[in-house]
Amino acid sequence: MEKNKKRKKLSLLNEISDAIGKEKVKNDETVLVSYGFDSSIAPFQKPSLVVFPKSCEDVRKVLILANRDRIPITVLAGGVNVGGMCVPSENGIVLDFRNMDRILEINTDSGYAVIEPGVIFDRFTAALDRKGFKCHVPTAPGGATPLGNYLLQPSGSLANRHYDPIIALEVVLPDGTVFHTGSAAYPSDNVKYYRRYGPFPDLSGLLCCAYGTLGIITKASVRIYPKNESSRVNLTAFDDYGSATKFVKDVVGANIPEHCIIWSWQFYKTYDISLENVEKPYIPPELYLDPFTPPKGIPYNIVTTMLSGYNEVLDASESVCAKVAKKSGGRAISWEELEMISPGAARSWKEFYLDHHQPKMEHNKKYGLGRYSAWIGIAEPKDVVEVEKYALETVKQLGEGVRPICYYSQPFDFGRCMFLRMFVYTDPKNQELLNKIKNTYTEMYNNIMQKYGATPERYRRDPNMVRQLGGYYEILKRIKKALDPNNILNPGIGLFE
Amino acid sequence: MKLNTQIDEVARSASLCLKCNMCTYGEWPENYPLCPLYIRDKIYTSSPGGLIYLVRALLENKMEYTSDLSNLSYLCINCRACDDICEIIPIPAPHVRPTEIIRLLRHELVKRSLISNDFIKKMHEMVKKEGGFGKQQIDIKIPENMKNEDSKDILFIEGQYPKGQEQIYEVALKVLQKIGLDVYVYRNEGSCGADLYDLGFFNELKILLEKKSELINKIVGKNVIFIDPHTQEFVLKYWQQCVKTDKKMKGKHLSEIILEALKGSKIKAKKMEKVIVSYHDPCVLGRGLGIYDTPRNLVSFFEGVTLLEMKRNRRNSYCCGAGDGTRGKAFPEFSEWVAQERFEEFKETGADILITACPYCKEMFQRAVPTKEKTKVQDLFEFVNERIE
Repeated sequence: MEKNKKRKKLSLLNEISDAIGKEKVKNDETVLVSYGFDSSIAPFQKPSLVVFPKSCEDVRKVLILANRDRIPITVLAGGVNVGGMCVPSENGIVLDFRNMDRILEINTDSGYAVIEPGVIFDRFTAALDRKGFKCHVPTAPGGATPLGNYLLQPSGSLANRHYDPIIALEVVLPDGTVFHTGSAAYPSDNVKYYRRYGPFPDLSGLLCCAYGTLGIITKASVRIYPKNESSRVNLTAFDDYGSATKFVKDVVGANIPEHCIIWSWQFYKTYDISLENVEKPYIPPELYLDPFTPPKGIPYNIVTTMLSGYNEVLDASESVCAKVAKKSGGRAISWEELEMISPGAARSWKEFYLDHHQPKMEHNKKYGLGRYSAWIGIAEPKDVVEVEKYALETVKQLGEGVRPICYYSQPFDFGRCMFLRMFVYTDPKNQELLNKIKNTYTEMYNNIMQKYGATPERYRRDPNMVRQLGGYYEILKRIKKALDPNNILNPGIGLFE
Repeated sequence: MKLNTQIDEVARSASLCLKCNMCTYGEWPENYPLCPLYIRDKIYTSSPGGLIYLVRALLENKMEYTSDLSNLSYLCINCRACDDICEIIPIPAPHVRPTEIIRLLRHELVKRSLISNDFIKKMHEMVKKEGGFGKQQIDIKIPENMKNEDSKDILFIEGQYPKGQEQIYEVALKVLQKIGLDVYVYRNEGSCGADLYDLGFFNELKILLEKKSELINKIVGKNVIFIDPHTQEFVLKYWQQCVKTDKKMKGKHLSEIILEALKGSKIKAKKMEKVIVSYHDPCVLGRGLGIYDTPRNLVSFFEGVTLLEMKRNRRNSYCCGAGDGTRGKAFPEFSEWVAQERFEEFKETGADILITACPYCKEMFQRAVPTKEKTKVQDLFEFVNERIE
């Protein structure tokens, strides 16, 4: 039996190597092990092969063979993963897209770019910067990929006005079918990627939030935006989240900012972690205080309101922000004041909003505090204030080992709903505590759903999250059956069984 | 990192790597690729993060120590680009950098006799037998006025050095003579420990440092001048850990002494023909010791010298391939490929001379570049000596 398995593995290795070139296929123990886990709490599962495709055709050939032998496939766009959504199945194949990393087109006329899955944010934002353009930038590290991030419905720098960055896709199915979505589907010698919707159902949407379970994307067009004559960030301090939300709702409703984010004080203080003395890193002691009670002089929330456009409009917008801040119980703060409150945040936000890219390491330092565990709730603006109180109190009850408790929050889609991501850092070796956090998060989702009709933002390797959706899940299963009848696409996350 | 750090102490650090791969490339917006091994293989495993994940796998019993791990760990050339970039791994105690985790991995492999590279294996055998390369000392003539042990300053010359580097040391002595500094030339016997540390020969390093304990406690507090950045870094950072008092190791790179002398008019610059140069940042002098400006200021001090930067410079510099000198011999093909890539970058500047400030860099470039180009590579002290009266 064991011999048979080994023979089968070897034969698949040879067949894939013959099909796409042996230099693109690895099965050394060191390679397999290093791909077996990541920084999430997902369990270690060692693949049998790691494949590095260089083209859509490579992907197609691998999928046909894997589908024939019913071998699970997990895709890594760049491999940064804190949610455990791309840990391979035991003995499965990993498709690592890091060698498909071309920026194929930056269309400044229409405002989109066509990219391969392995393109990382740092390269993409730099390329756009040279053309006077910017893209949606998340709080993920600069080494993460736009495609991997955007397909999850991102929560970054432009989400309140420009909610959905994905336009058209090139997709490969397990049977080898390759199809295009949106305007890219039209049989033209001059295929264009500028349009997502209509005149038929939106198949790009089908692939979004599918976590690699419905098809493998090998090319995509994403929305990009001009940097405009000027960009500014208006800073407003609040003593409570309710007032901050009121401010955000008001300015977004008036179409003032390109984007707003409400930062919790313990989150923006993580930017002050310093490694100037490596042997004794500076970790702000405030990070371990009661999350409800910031020390004097540290605003509970700071709202960054990004303004972009002609200077005349921005001058007027800043006046509006000041007026609304006063009305909402907040106060405008200057960059100099922010420097005093949190020099790290001042440094990072300038890069994030004014240079339109992730600060090199400022975003990442906080991950050194412990294992990251996030909970994301989406609610209507009137409800999100209660959700924040409830979530913060519930997470706080998990005890001192779950610190700091950070969050950020922002309006999606012009404030139709509010996004709230809360995250904590814990001892990565304390499995009991990690499990407790996981269970608490599940309970929190159930509670906010019952009480406020709030919803989770992302799947969390908890099959019940999708099973409870009844008719929706039944339809999804039928679609899955049609596209991936053998369930070889990322089965490890348990979305379909 | 404390010299007695054990691999299981870094379990927490290793488990926090995000796999973001940012340890392999430089600052935005250029994002220049910097990790030689990752540039060659372009797979996650061959990156600092990949090696850290293998350490994590070992600590979590997901794999066994094997000789396959050995080559991979030694192919990390120790350029420190990742150390300079990653600000996640050092946060938890014991506050280690990525390359320090990789050194701990090497140590575990050495302990288990799993070194697969013949050159490194032979080195280990020799070190075990002779204790840090025995009593080898540099073979150069020391001027009489530099033999006074009571001198104010000490010029520290490493004993474990590749043949061919003598010229740099001889030139350095000439420069010091011109400056007229009251200096005692200390010729270290065998290794200071830097190479043993880098190769993960920690047991032997412990013995070596115990043997040197008397010397360490004798030179602490004195002004020590260094030519080789590897020695300088190890003596200042790690000999300090063996000091039994609260005295601090003090030291400067020779380039700093020369620049001070020029600025203070202790030596005079000659008038020479115009020349265009480019400066290669040695990894340890730059990332290890933070010395980026001094060599540039020194070169630019001379009239007629135009300094052109290579596209990858300072913190974003690219290694010459030598590592601490051992990689060039253990993995000659790989090291020469790295050196050639760097030399091509130098050629793109259009400069006449490639200047470096580490004996290993010069040796590596000399070995990797075509014969007709070899004269284009100069050590900083050779360049300076030609230009001072």
